[in-house]
Amino acid sequence: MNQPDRKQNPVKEQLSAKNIDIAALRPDTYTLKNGITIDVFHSKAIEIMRLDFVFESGKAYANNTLAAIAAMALVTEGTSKHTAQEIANFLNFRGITIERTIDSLNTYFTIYLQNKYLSETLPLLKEIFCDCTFPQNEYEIYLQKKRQEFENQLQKTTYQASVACLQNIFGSDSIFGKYLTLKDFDKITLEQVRDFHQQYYQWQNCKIFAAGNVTQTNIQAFEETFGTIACDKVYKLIVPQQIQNQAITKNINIADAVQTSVRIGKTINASWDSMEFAKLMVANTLLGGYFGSRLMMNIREDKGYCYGIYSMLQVERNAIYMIISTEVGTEVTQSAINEIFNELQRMQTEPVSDEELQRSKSYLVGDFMRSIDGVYELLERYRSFHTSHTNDTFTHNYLAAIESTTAQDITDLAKKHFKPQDFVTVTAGNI
Amino acid sequence: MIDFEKTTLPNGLTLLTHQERNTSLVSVNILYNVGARDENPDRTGFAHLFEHLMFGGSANIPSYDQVADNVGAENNAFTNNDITNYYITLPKQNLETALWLESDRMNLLDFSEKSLSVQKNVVTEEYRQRYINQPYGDLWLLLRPLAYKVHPYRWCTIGKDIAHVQDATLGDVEDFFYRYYRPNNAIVAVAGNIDHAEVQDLVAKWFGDIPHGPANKRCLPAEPEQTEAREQTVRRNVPASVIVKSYKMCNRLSPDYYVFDLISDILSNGKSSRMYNELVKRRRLFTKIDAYITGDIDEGQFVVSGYLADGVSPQAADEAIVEQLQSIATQYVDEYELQKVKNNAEAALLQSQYKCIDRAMRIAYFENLGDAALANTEPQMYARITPYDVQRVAKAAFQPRRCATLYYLKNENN
Repeated sequence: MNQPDRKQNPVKEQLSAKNIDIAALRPDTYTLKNGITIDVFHSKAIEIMRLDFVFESGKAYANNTLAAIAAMALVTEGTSKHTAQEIANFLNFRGITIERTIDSLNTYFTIYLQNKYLSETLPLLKEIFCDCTFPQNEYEIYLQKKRQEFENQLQKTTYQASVACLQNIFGSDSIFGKYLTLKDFDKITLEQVRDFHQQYYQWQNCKIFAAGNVTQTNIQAFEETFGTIACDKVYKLIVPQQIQNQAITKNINIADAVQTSVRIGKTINASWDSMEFAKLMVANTLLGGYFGSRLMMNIREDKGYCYGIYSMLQVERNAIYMIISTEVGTEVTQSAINEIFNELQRMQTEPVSDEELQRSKSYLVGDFMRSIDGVYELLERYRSFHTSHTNDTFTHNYLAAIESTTAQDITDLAKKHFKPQDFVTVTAGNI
Repeated sequence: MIDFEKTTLPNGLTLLTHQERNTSLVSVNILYNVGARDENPDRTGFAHLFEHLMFGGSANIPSYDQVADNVGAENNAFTNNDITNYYITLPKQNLETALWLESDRMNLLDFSEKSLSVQKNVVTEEYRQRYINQPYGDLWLLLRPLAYKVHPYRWCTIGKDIAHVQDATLGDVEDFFYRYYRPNNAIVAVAGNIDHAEVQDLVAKWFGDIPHGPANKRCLPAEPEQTEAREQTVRRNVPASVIVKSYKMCNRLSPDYYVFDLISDILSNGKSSRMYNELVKRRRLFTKIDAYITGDIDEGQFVVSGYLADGVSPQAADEAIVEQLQSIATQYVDEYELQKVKNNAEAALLQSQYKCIDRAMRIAYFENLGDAALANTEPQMYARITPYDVQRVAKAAFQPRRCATLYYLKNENN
C-alpha cells in the first residue's frame, strides 16, 4: 500500500481567486409584462424550489416599527377569500414553508416548495401579498406572542449590546438605528398595520428571485399570476445619508448576568465599489473574520476569555460599518476589551507575515467557493446586491483584492480605519 | 435518495463515499461513536471537552486550524449525548489535506497542558453563554434529571456540573482517546465531486496504518419504566411562564419513532396544527406551543413545551395539553390530517439534504445506527403509518405516570 508521509501536507493546489468566473454566477432575468423582474438560478438537480419576494418595506418606512414587523407576520393570516386556517391548511398540506425577515429597508419572504406545487401556489401567494385583510383576532394573538418574545430579547445581554452599539453608531432615530421599543406595543393600532401594508407593499418596488428547477412553464405561470398586477403606486424611497460616528463608551447594566456582551464598532468611510474597501475586507478577516484570526487566537485560544469573537464588515445602502462582537466572562470584561484594542493597535504597527497573509487569503478563496456552491447561495448573493444597491463590481474587486493585498496595504488600512479612538464601545452585563 | 458506496478497512474503519457532480467542493465527515452518554457520572461534560481538544494539535500538525485555513477549508464539530461528529468542507482538489488532518489526529494527539487549561475556560464560557446567560437557558439542565433517573441522558452534553470539566486531567484525556477515538469506532463519509475508487485508495493510504482499539461494547444502565408522574417547579426572572411535559418514547430504530414524529407534527407543526388552533388561537392559553421529539438513539423524549399567556394558571395549561394528547390517544386521526403531516415530513427530508455535507452527515449517522441504507428508507417509514398506529402509540405513551412536568414560572413580581 501507498504509505503516507505524515510529515508533509499533501496539498495539491495553492488556491487562487484568479480562476473564478463571475459571469457564471449570474441569474437569467425574466421581465414580466408589467415590469416586475424575476432573477432565476437554474439547477435541475434540486427538488425543492426556493422563491424570494423582496419588498421595499423595511422598518425605517414605518412611524411605529412594530407596524412594519406585524404587517410582515400577518400577511398569511387571512385574505378576503381565505381564512388564516385555510391558508395554513393549503401550505401545510403541501409541506410549503414561508420564512420572513425584515431589516431597515426591506422585507423578505422566502418560500420553499416542491416543484410540483408551484402553479397552484402562485395565485395564493399573490392573494396573500395583495389581498390580506389583517383580521382583529389574529392581530391580537400575534401581538401577545410578539410582546413576550420581545421582553425575552430585552433580557439578553447579546441583544441589548448589539442594538445599543448600532444606535450609538448611527443614532437611535436613524435608518439603521431604528429598533423596536416597548412603547411601540402600547401605541400600535391595527389601522397602522393595514395602512403600512397598503402603502409599502408595492409591486413597483418588489423583486422576485427563484432558485431550482425552474421551467419555461413555471415562468409562464409567473407571467399569468404576477404579470397582470398594476405597478402604478409609487412612494418616496429612502436614501440613507452617509454618517460618521462619534466615539462613545457605554455600559448597560444587566443584573445577574454572568457574561458581558461586548460590541465595538464604527462606520467605515470607504465606498463599497472601491479597491480600498475590498482590501479592507481582507484586513478585517485577519483581524477577526475567521477562526485563525488575531482576535480569536489571542482572546479565545490563548486567554480562554470567551467561546467566540468575531469582527465583521456590514454593507448597507450608502453605509458600511464594522462590529467586533464577543461574550466574555464578567470578571475578565476589561481585560478582554484591552486585548481587543491591543489587536487593533497591533494591526497598525506589526506587519502581517507572508504566511499569515497567505493563510487568510486561502481561507477567503475557500470561503468564497462555499458561498457560491449551490443555487440558494447564488440567490442570496444577488438578493444582497439588490437590497444594498451594489453589484458584481463588489465581487470583482473582492476577488482582485484577495490576489493583490500586501502586508503594507494591511498596515496602511489599519492606520486609517482601525484607530482605537474612533470606536463606539458598548458593554451589556453585570459590571 | 443518497447513492453511496461502503467499504471497511482491516483496522475496522468504515468508509462511505457519495458522489455529487454539481459542486467544486468536497466534504469529509467523521463520526466517532461516543457521546455524553458514555461518560463517567463523575466526569460529565468530558466528551464535549475532548472535542475541543481535538483541535489542539496532533503528532505532526501543531495547529489543525492553520492547516485547514491554508487549503481554504471550513471545519467544525459537535457533540451530543450519542455521538461526536467532525466535518470539514474544502475545494475538492485539496481533499487529501483533509484526510491528512483527520488521520493525523486519529493516529496520535499531541497537545499541551496549556491547551487543556485554555479549553477548560473556553468550555466554561460556552456553558455560561448557552445555559446561564439567557432566559430559559437552564431549562434542559433541569428537565433531563427529572426525566431520567438512571440512564446517562440524565445529564446534558455540557455536563451536569461545570466543575467536572475543570477537574479533567491529561490522564483522563489519554484514556478516552485510546478507548473511543480508534478507527473501529469511527465512520468516515466523503461526499462531493469525487471518484469512489480514488477516495477509497486515499482513505486506505491515510487511515490504514492506524491501529485499531478495543471493541466499543456499550453497556449503559437502562432507564427503568417510570411508574409515577414527576413534577418540579422553579421560579425565574423570565418574561413568561413555560410548562414542559416530557413523555418517554421509543428508541431511534423502532418503527414507532416515526409515529411519534408525526404525532408531534399533528399537534404543533404549522398554523394548521391542532394545538396552535385550539390552545393558542381559540382558547388563548398559550402564546406559543411546540411538540417535538428529542431524536436520541436510546429511548428518548416526546416533549410538549408551551409559553403561557398572561393570567393563565399552570394547572389550566397543563390540563389543556393533556386533553390534546388524550384526543390523539382516543380518536382516530383523519386521513387528510395524516396525509398532511406525511407530506410535510417528505418535504422536510428533501430540504434537509440540500447540501453535500448534509448528505455526508446523514449517511454516517445511519451507518452508526447500523446501516447507512436506512437513510434512504425514511420516506417509506413515514408512508406506511396508519391512523391505527397513531392511536396505538399515543395510548401507550401519553399516560400520566410516564410524564415528567417542569413548571418554569416567572417570578411573581416580574
